[in-house]
Amino acid sequence: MAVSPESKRKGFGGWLTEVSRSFFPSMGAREWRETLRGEPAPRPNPRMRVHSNSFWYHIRPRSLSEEATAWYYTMGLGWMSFFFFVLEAITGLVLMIYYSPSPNEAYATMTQIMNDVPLGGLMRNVHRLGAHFMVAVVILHMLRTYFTASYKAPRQFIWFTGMILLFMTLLLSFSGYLLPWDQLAFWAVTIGSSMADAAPGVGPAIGRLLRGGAEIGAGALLRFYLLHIFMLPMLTIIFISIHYYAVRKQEISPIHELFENKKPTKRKIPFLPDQVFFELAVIVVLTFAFIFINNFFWDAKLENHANALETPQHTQAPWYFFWLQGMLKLGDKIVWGLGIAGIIFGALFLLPYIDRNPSRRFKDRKFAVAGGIVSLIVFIVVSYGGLPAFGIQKVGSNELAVSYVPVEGEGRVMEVPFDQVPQEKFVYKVYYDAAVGDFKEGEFGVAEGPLPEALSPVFKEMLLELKHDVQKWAEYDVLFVRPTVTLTIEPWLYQQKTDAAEFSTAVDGLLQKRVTLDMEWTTAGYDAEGNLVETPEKSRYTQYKFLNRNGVVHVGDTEPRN
Amino acid sequence: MTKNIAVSLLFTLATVALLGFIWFGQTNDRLAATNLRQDALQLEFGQRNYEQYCATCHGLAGEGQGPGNRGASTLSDLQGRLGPGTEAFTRENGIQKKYGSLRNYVEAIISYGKTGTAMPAWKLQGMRDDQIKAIAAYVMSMQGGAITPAALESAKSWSATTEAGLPPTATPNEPPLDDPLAEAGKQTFNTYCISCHSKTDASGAGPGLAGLFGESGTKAFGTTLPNGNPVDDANVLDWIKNGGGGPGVGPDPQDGASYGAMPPQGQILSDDKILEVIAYLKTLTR
Repeated sequence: MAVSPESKRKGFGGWLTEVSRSFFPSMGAREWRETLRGEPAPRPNPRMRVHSNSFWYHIRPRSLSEEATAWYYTMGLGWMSFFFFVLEAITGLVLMIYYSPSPNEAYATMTQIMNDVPLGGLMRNVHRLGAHFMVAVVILHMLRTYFTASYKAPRQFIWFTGMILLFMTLLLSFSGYLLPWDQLAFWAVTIGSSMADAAPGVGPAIGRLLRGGAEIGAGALLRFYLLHIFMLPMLTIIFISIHYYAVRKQEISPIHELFENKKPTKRKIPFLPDQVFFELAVIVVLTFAFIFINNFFWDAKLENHANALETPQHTQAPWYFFWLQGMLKLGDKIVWGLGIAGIIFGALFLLPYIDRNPSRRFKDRKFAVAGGIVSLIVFIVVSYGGLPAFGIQKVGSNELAVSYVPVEGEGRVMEVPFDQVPQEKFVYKVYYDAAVGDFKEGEFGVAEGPLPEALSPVFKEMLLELKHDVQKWAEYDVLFVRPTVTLTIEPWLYQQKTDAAEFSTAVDGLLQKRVTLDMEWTTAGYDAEGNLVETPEKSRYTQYKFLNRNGVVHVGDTEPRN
Repeated sequence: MTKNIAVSLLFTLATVALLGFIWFGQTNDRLAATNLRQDALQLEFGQRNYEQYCATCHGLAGEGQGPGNRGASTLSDLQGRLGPGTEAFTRENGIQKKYGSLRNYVEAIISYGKTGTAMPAWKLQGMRDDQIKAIAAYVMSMQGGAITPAALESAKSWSATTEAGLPPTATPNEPPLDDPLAEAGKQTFNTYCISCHSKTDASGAGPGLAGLFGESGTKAFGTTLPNGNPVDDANVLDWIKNGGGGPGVGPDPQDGASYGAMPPQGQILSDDKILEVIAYLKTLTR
C-alpha cells in the first residue's frame, strides 16, 4: 500500500497511523480523530485517496447524491435484501457444519442443531426467518421500483436482472424447505415438484431432474441441498453483481423526476466515512434486532420426520406461493397454474418494454399506479384464497380430529402442558340435548354439570374451545348432525422403575397419557331433489394420540414452547 | 456521523451481550433439555412404529397375544422378567453373555426375528435402524405394572374392535411337547403357518386346524382336505408341499367361511420339516 506523505511521523504514533491506514484506506490517526468529532472532511478528501482507486470505488460511488440516500425514497430495500443475503450466507455456513443431506441423517442432525449445538437453535431461527424476510424485502423492493417508475429507460436492464434475482430468491427460499426432512418439508416440496410435473411436454422430465427419481427421496434431498448451498447462491451472487454494477452505472433514479415542481439536489454525501458508518450502524442495529426477535418471539418449528405414508391434513406451500395455490383452486392447473402464472411473470419481465410512457411523474402515470394498486389487491385476495381456510369442503369430524388429536404434529390437546392434563382417567362429553335444543357438556355418566374444580384453567379452556368448535362444526357442516363428542384422557405408561427415585409418587412418574376423541353423529345425505335427509344410521369416528411427558414442553417451561 | 459510530458501538456491544446471554442461558439446561426432548421424541417415534408394526401381534399395551391371540410374547415388564438380576439374563449363554445388555437383546430380536416363532426379521424387511432403536426404547419403557389396568382394558377393547372375528386361538407360552418331532414341528408351525392357520377352530385366512387328524376332522373341511383327498400323512405332505384349493375348487367349506388358496410351501420347507409339522398337527385336538 502506498505510503501517504502525511505519515512521516516516527515512533509509536507513526506506526499506529501506518497500521490504521493499512486496514482503513487513507484513514490515519488524524482522520480518525476528525471523524470521531464529526468534523467535515477537508478537500480534497484525504480519506478517499486509496478508496477512490480501489475495487470498492467500482461498486460503491465515492459519493452518493442526497436524493438517493433519502430513507423515504428507496427505504434501503435493495440494500436490505443484500443484507439478508449475507445474513443467510453466514448462518447457512454455520448450519452446514452440522447438517448432513441424507434422509437417514438429516432429521437427526436438525434435532442436534436445535438442541445440542451452542446457539444452533438461534442460527436456525435466524436462517429461517431471514429467508422469509428476504423474500418479503425483495417483493417490497420491487413494489417500490414499480411505483416510483425506476424501471424506465435507461434502467430497463436493472429491472430485468432484478426479476431474475426475484426468481433466485424464491428458489433459494423454496429449495431450503426440503432440507430439515420433516413433514412440512416433504409435503411442501411434493407440491412444488408436482407443479413442475404439470408443465406440458418437458414437465415430467423437469420433475424427475429435480427429484432424482419418481419419488422424493435421497436423490431429491441431495439435489435440493446442492441447489440450495451451491448453484443458486452462486447464480445469485453473479446476478447481484450485475444488478449492482448496473445500478452503479446508471445511478439510482432521481427522486425529483417524480414531481413537477421539485428541483434536483446537487448535494452529495461522501461514501467514506459518512455512508459507511451509517450503513454499519444499520447493519449492527438490524442484526441485534433480528437476534432479539428470533430468540424471544419466534421459533422455527420442526415437524415430525418426513413420512410418505402420512399426509398432513392441510399441506400448504410457503406464504409467497399462496397466490399460486389460490389460482390453482380457480380451475385447470395447466391454464391457471402455468398459463396465467407464466403470463404474469412474462409481463413482469417485459414491463419496461410494455410500459412505453417515458414520464416518471405520478400525474402522468395514473393508469400504471392504479393498475399496480389493483394488482396488489388482487394478489392479496388470491393469496387469501390460497389458504386452507378458504373454499375447501371440510368435514366436521375430520377437522375436529385434526385440530385436537392429529396423527401428525401437535394438536390443541398437546398444547396443554403435560402436568395440567388430568392424571386420572377423565372423560369429557359434549352432546346435543334435544330438550333444550342446544349443546351441553359434562363428564361421562354425569348428565350435566360444572367441570370439577380441580382441573387446571389451561385444560378447562381447551375443553371450552372443544365445545365451541363442536357447535361451530355442527353448524358449518350440514352433514355433521347432532354430534356427540367424547374426549377421554387416561394414564397409559409409567416411568421406568430404575428412574422412579426422582419421582415422589407413581402418578408423578407418569410417562404417557392417551387421548381419545370419539365422535358419533347422525348421518345425513341429499335426496334426489337435493333436500337434506337424515338417515337412521349413526356415523362414528375415533382417533387417539399419546401425550408424552416433556414431549412438547421444555424443561422449566410452564407454557408450551410454540 | 459521531452518532452513527456511537450507535454502531453500542449495538455491537449489545449484540455480543445478547449472544452471551443466550449462550449462558442455554448451557445451564441445554444438555438436560436435550436428553429429555430426545427421549420423548424417540418414545413418540417408537410408539408410532410400534402401533404400526408390532401392536397387531403384541397388543397396543404390550399385553401380548395380540388380536387373534397368536402366541406373541407379552412385552410389559421386560426389565423385570429378562433384565439384570433375572435368571434369563445371567444364566450360562443368557442375555448378558450373548448380547451384553437387555437393550441389545431387544434390538437384535426386532432386527433379526426369533427362530421358531412368527416374529419376523424386521431389519431384513427394510426397517431402518432408527426405527428399531426407537421401538426398542418404547418396548423397554413398558415396565412391570407400568401399564395401567385401564390402559390394558382399553387396549383389549381396541383389539376386539379392530380384529373382530379373530377369537383367541392359542394358549400363551404352551408347555413343550413330549415328542421332540412334534416340538420341532410346533416351532416350524409357529413360524410359517400360524399367520393363516389357527390352532383351534377359528378361521383366519386359512381354516383352523384343530382336530385335523382326529375322528371328526376340522370344523371347516371335516375329514377331508379341501381337494377331497382323505387326511393322511402322504396327502397332507402333498398338500403343504404343492398347495391348492381356493374358492370354487373342491368341496365348499362346511363352516360357511371362504378361504383363499393354500400357497405351495415346497420351496420354503423341506420334506423333513413338513413331516415335523404333520407330527405337530396330530397333537392338535378339538
